[in-house]
Amino acid sequence: MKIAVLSGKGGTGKTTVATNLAYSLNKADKMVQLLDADVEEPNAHIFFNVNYEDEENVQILLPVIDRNKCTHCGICARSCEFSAITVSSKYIMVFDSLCHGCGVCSMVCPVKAISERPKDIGTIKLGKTEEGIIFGEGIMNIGEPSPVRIIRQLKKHIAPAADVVILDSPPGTSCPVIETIHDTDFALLVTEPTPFGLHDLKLAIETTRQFNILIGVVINRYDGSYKEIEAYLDREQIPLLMTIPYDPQIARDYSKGFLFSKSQNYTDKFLDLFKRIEVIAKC
Amino acid sequence: MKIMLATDNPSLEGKISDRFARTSYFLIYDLENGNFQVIDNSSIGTHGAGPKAVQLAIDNNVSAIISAIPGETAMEAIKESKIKVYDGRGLNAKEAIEKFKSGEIKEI
Repeated sequence: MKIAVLSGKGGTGKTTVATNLAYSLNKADKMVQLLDADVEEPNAHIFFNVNYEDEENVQILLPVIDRNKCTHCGICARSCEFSAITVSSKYIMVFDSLCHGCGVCSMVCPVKAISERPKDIGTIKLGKTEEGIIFGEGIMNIGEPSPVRIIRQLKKHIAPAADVVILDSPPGTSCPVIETIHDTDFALLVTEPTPFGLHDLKLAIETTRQFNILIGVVINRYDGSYKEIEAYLDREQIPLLMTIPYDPQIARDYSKGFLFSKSQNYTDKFLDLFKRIEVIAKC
Repeated sequence: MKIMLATDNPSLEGKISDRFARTSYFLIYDLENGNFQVIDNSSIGTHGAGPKAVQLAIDNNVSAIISAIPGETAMEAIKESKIKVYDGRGLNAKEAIEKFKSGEIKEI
């Protein structure tokens, strides 16, 4: 089973849920893989001792223009979805920072004036935590505009033998999130009991509804005072699978890089969360 | 000679927008006959607005742009294209055109 942990809003506790769920399932003798797809700020590794075994570069191909061949016809500029090429009768200009490496410019050029050169945009690191969780993370280079290719390459390392694969998604609802949830079985949405949390949860749910994917919600920092999220979930018939209490001890543990599910009480709660996911997935 | 103005309104009364590439409208104004064409820029996508706007200027044979200060990638493309940019902040399109004609407007 592949579970993507999402949230519309940043800072609601995706990594908290992803890491603690991975830890708890591993403790219950499942073969678990944790992939940190939040490649702009991968921080799941902080909560584990990871023995890295392998590393690979992620590259995209950027256009190189042969100015002797270019006829300034402008077909490449018009074909580029991201306006990464500007052409006038006298010059042609490539904006590397806007290029997504799709290659369409070199395909459409009628005089074959465009070749491609690779550019490193990030790294994939693979290993195992000391508990035995299969671990992987993507790291995007500073200044790169799009993490999508890094996430795609990271997902090529999904271990077929794993019982459960947990993907820690980037926040938001844009391309990197869609790349992360693509081909997963379940989207676990983490939110916080605030108007912002609810607003962005709705956006995230609307996004998941574009896909054929099962969903459930976790409310983090729950103290029972803000009821709007539960009311919304009731109305929409979306299952609330877990609440994590607003507990200073959890915050203290988190700030030190400790997993609060190391206490048996919480291990059981995360195992219970997984059972509920399994029940939904079997229906 | 044609100039391109980034405005918040599709008329000569429109104010020069605070932003260049993500302005609501572009007016392509012909200095010879005073005719102008309006380009609705409001549905611009999320990517590459700067170069897209400069490409628009090039495709329309524009010699000068009047707008607020363009962003980094737009500026790069403008420099390369040899099109001149003028600071029209605080003016409406009509005033900007007059100041352009009389040379009172500042080049960015």
